[in-house]
Amino acid sequence: MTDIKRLHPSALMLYFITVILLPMFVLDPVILAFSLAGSVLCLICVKKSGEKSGIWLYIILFFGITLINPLISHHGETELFFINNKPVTLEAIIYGAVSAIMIVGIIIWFRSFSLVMTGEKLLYLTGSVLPKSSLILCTALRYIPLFKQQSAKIRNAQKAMGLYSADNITDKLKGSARVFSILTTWSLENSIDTADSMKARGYGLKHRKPFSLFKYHVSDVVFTVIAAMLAAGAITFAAVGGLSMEFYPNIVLPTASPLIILCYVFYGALALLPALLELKERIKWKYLTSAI
Amino acid sequence: MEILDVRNLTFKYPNSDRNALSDVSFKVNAGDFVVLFGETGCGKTTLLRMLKRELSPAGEKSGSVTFCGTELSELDARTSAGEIGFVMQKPETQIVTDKVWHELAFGLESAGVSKSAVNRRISEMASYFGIGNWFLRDVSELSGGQKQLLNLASVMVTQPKLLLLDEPTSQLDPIAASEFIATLAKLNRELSLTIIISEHRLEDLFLVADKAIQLKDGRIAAYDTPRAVASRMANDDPMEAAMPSAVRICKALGDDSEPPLTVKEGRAFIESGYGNATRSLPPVERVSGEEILRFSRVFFRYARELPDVLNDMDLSVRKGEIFCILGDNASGKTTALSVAAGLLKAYSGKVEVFGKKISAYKGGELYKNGVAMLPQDVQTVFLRDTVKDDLSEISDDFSSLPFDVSPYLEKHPYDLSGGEQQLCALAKILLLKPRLLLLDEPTKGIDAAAKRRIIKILRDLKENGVTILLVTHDVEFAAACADRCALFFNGSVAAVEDPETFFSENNFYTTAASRMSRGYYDRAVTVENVVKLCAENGRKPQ
Repeated sequence: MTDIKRLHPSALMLYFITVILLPMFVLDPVILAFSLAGSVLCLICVKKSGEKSGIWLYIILFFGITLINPLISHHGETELFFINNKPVTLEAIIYGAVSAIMIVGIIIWFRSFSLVMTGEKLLYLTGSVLPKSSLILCTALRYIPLFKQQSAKIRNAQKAMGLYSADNITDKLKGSARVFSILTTWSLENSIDTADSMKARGYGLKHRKPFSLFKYHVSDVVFTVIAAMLAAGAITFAAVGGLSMEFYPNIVLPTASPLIILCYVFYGALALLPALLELKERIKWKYLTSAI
Repeated sequence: MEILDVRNLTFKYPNSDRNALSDVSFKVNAGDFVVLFGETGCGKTTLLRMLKRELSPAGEKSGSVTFCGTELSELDARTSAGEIGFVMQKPETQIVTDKVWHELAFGLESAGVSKSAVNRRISEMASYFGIGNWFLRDVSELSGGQKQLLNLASVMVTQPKLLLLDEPTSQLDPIAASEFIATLAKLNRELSLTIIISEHRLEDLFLVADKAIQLKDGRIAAYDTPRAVASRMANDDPMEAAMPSAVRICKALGDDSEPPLTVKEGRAFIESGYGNATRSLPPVERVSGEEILRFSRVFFRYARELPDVLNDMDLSVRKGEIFCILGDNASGKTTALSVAAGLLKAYSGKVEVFGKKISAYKGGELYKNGVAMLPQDVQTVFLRDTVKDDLSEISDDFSSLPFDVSPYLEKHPYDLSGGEQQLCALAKILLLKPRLLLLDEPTKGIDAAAKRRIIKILRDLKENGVTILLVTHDVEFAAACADRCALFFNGSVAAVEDPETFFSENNFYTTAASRMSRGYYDRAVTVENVVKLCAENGRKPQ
């Protein structure tokens, strides 16, 4: 099996959907702990060294959500103290903390998702469902940098003539409106060329076949099957075993039946899958380098 | 065997009172490299587009175009799209997708080729064109030359038999343009690909082409080998200025023999035909006034973590001179100009304009009868729907302009040709009545006639006391109009000299005329210089 970034987009998509599914619907401390741990490890694996992890943001988010819930929700039996004659309960604080872990975990999963699923991969996935819209999106993506560049060039050209740069707001607004209007003309002009170029290269012929550089390897099949089995198992066991936690009026932890434990094992394996892959890769390299 | 047979092709655009093409007939043999040339507006683009069915304009058409024995309109759609390739002028706008690999695959995707075949063909094409290193990149990261090469490669993936190119190198710098033409020559030689290319710059193309077609007002004026076409061309033909330097020297001397094309032939022509008792022309008198623009120890970079683009740059431009900065692509010439125009700020060093620090000019003060800059992309100067509205943004008094813009006033600026657009953009800038004019690549994408006109305008402006600082790749242009030249290298200027010294001492960064005459004549850097010397020395007795 290969490093997670090299997996086929569809395998990746499936993985990220399944891994956030369970923690989104079950507020269970063990599942959430696995989700958070898995997401953090996954982020460490996929982010480039030197890239900011944004850890402070997550910590602030965590405490923010934890503290806001007891201020809004006053359910629960264990009253700790009163603010404005409203009770702050232990249950509400714990509920806040658990939901905070859920939210932070999912946000970190999404962050890994955005690092792994580059525009190209997303485009490929949309392309397999909606080929035409995907091509439009593709040309649009091509146009954005062009548009920005041209806009900057026009502004500079106008500035070097001393136009629309005075400290006069109406003048500036008028300038921006004119720049925007000429940019529209410019885009239309250029899109005629682009359309010609598409036509000249046979766009519109029947039986168009979208091409991509992505190949579906055996490793993708293996990964997909494992992830799907783990996810299906975890969800089934959670449903059959009645995995649920109650917070109000007092906290009832889920009972540790064999089914629930199986559910934990399956989900834990699913959440840690990227980290395990990475670990395997590192060990392999270690042996490779020592062999060299 | 002929691959293309055009018979009595006449075409008229709707709402036009004259024919864009009249009675055009010619045949092209398979494997020929044909160059199509003529003045702007003579019908080159129309003719090329009439040869590619998907791009043929709508209008009244008569006559026939036959490709490989089949009338163009009866060709199967797949054959028509795949076997006739078309590359357009602007590198940017004909790219459809955002990734290099996807762009290469586009034509094959359309043709419905299977995935493994696409993979093989684009890999092969990428390695043939040397695209391998940037195969996975975003197209927005490529240079103009790379973009045009990508356009060529993405047309070549469908294995066309006929390749049509409409001024493909006009937006490229001379080095990228020569490379592009060399690639075309290689395709022609190695794959016996038939090529028809239209272009303004003929210096390189005339050497590699098998045939040349001259169009004049929609009619074929000449169709023969380049040498024969050059030989028969009248001296007052407007296209004479676009001919290779060797041809121009020969024609200007009134020599009716078969003209030389290459530098080597040109040298032989001069040395065998003309004496060199007088080796050089009297030095040109150049007066210059006080210092107008001064860079001292200027450093600039775009972001803290990026390298210096201007690196300890010193520069001094004097009143009433035309100062040319030459240099490679992406060497920082445009950046230097933008710093002088106050668009970018140096992080260290001093920039003084008219004896005052540039940072001391507040608001638009610098641009009021002071500095004005004509950017490389002249389209960016226009904001309005007509040229008149655009010029009126600056001033309504067009009488002060050194040239006439009245034919263009009611037109949309984007509807003008490259040369006309440039003229109108320059007009807008000149209405500011600048004392220091900054020009970025003023000869990009314009034909030989427009280039001549711009040289004349710059000389007139100089007579009127305007100082001009320009950056250019175009050595012929710089040799013709500069008072002083400098080579931009490694973030600063090296070797500031008068053009005669500059070009006669450079080995590569120099004009064809200089390469032809060095060692035989001294300090002859333009065609006019060489012609004058030859005429002065007279013909050698046979």
